[in-house]
Amino acid sequence: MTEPIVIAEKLTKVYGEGETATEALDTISFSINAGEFVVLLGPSGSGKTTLLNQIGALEPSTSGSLKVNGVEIAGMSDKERTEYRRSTVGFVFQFYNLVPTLTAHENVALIAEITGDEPDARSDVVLEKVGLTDKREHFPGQLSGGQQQRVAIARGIVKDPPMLLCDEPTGALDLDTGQSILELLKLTTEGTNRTVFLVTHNSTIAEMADRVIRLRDGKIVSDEANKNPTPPSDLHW
Amino acid sequence: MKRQKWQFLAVGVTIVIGVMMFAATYDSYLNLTASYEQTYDRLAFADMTIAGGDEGLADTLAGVDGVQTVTIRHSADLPITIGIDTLRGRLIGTPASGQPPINKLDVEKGQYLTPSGDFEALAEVHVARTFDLDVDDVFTVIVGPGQEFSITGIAASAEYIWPAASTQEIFPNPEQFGVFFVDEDLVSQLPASVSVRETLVLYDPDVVTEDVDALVHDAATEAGATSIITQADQPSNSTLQLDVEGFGEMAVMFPILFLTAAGMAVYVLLTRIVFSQRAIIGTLRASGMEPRELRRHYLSYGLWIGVVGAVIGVLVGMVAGALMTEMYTGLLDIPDTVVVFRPLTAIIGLIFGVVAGALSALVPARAAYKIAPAEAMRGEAPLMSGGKSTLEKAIPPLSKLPVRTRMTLRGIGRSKRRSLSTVLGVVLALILILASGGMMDSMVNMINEQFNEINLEDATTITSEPVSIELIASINATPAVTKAEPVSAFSASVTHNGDTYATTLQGFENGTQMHGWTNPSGELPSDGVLAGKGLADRLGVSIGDTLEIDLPTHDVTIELELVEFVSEPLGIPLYARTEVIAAALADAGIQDPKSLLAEPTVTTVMTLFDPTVSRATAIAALEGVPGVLAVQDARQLYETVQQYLGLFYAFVGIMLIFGGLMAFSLMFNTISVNIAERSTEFATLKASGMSDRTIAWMIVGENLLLTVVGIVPGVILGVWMANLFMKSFSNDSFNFELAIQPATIAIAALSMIVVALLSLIPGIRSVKRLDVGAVVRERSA
Repeated sequence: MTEPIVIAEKLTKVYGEGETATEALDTISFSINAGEFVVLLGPSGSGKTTLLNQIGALEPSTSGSLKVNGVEIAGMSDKERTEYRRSTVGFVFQFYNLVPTLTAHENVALIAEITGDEPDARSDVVLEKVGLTDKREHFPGQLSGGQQQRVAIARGIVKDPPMLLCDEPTGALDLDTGQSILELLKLTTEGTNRTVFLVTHNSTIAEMADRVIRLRDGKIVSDEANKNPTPPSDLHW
Repeated sequence: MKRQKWQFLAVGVTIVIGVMMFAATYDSYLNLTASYEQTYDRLAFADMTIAGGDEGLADTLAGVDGVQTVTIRHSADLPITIGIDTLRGRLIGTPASGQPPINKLDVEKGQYLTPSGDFEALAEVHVARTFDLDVDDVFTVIVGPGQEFSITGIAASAEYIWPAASTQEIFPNPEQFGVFFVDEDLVSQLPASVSVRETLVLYDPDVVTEDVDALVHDAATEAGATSIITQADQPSNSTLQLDVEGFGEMAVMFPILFLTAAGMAVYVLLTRIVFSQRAIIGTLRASGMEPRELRRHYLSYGLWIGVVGAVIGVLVGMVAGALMTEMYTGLLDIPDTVVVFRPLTAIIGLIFGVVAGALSALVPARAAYKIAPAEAMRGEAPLMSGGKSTLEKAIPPLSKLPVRTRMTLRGIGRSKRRSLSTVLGVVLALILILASGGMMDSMVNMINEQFNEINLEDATTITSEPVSIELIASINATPAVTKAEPVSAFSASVTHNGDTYATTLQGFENGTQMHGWTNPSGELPSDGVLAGKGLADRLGVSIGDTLEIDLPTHDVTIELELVEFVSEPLGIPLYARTEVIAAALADAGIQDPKSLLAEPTVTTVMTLFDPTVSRATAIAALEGVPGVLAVQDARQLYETVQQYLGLFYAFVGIMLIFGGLMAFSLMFNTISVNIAERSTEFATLKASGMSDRTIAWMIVGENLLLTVVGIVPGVILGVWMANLFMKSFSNDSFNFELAIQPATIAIAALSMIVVALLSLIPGIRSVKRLDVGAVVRERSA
């Protein structure tokens, strides 16, 4: 039996104080097994990105517990959070967030440099995986949206993290490109035991997941396993 | 504006300083000019002072068009004693019957000379202050048995606001030179060898001074005058004008530097604001807002900051200007202090501030309304095209550096205008710091050179009897004295091609140890004369020319060949060996030149002291030598100047602070904008596990590199500007050569690096505080 990689218990995140306080996550509890492709689904303001940020240790929780690989991350110091993000998670964002002054290869190598030896070689391997070897020396401004997102995925996985956190990765892309990105995400995790969290408001995309957690108003309204995930190429929205 | 309050505050402070310094220096410039003019008008300061010339000169000049009044007076430099002190007293003849029509005296205490009084004198304010003289105090003129004078009053004179003894003696030691005004009838009776007949000329008001100067000059030359000095060249006035011109130049330089810096900062800041408000701009345009309304909105940022900064700057500056004027006139004992509220200064200051703010806001404001609504509403700026940095292209191996280092290099070219802004901040600040630091270094160097390399004597001994070999031997025998030499000095006037220049001719022994030689051969030549290099400009003389040197106190003109030029910081003197002067005097018909040269009014004995003996002991020992009348400490002035070095460097320190503030303002704004624009980038790197320290180093590296890039042209332009200032201040009395110390350049450059690091602190802290979660979800905003 696969071990849970993420265990949340009564996790709460409140933004603001007093009358302006907003409960983005309201005492939610769940556990995720390693290697699962998890879609966090919900409308705007449901708390899905907040949850992703909690898993990514981008911001502290208000209360409750969040353990990753058995380690409590809620009470981590800034330094420990940085170390955790470096070793445990890779991020893919809706708007790619590439450094415009660096080439595709350099954008990936920049992150590879902070996590181990031979950053150039490792970057070349992941760029090949995302099918961008021929665009190695291109700058983001010379790449299409889909290509930029591929570079972002390569950047996310170059550290070989146990978890890849994707925030609306297809949100800025057309259908075909979106499909290809989802295929790539699926492909890059196959055989790696890497857990993928994908945030989306698009319920169609949820069909490709092993697990779908629906959120609304900061609460989990359903947490379902999908025994027959749909291949991304069959998804239409 | 509230969101960028610190950035706007930095810009505001820069505008305030720029406008304030303009208002303060420009008002001081005008106030001081008005103060001098009022004093000069009230005291009928001579437009021309002529020494020598034939008896009919005054009548001739009275008939020159534009001449209002001509008077004749006599003056004499004689040794005097005040209590136990002996000094050179300048006795200037003035009518006992009442104030003279030209060069009146401002009697500040006591009363003017009385017609019936015997041996009365007015003490000039500087000598009165130095020796604490009051009404009814006395001093003695050492002529023959000595004559005591009683002081009836303390008076200021337009001629001695700066108590210069002559064009060649701008800094006489106040303890060894003093001016007294005595009955003209007494001075005129002194023999021609000690007194000088002076013709003072006052012009009609409203004439063109230069035209009348030329007519008077021609008439005086024709009459054989030995010295013709215009009001502009009068030693006190020309020295004071240097300061006034300094204020005038600062009044131009300060606003240019500070307002350029402020303008650049406003430009960078507003460009960023427009960029971040693209979506709002697009929405407003799509909703029908007129481009001119948008333009007005963004222009108003620049206008507001300009108006607020300029108003504060003008108010503070005008108060500072009044205080500076009063301090200055008080310090220099300028009889009149004119402090006037000048609406024009306020208006110009306001215009400076507002124009700087508005001009710098113009381009970003234009950019705002030029944005196409559809494009702007997307809120997304076109992704910048990447590329290798210039450095990487020039040095390909740099491409092998770690990516974060390459990112640092490329950050410089990311926004060329922003990078230019940082570089400009450094350049402008360095110009300010090095121009003022270079001036101070040059002044200190000039004084050191004059007192440590040229005037080498420790003291000058004035004797009461002819300077003989025996007298020199007895001075030399004084235990504290290591060397004594006779040195002769004449008031002289050089004539070449019809132009005359009043100076001094000094005679030294061969191999003298009392003077250092700055001519190419480094020694006093065996024949001919040396002249200060300024004489070439003044009279058009060149090496090999024969100079006609008139010695008016001895009514003789000698001829000497100009052999070399000396390069001395103070004055334009003439030097020859004593034996050469003696031979020339003989050639000119003087029967016994050796006796003439031995006269104590001509020759003094310069001495070097044993460095192990205190100066006071050495001077006391010298004063005890029979035949010694007075001992003038040649080092006293140097030591006094040394005491004021702290003040000089306080001025440079203030410029360093202002320069630092200016650079800080620009760098802080540029860096803040840079970090705000790249917040998504930095947040993404942080999300990926890059430490705050690594990101901070990348930011520090980028900005330090830009600072270094700015330091190079900044130092070059700063040194150039300092050189320009020094040249503009040079005149007959001062030959300023730029002598900027490497330490000054190093401190200025280092201060820029410190300022760069300080200006980075808020930005780096903001990176540390970045809400990574929030930022990475959004597009760069």
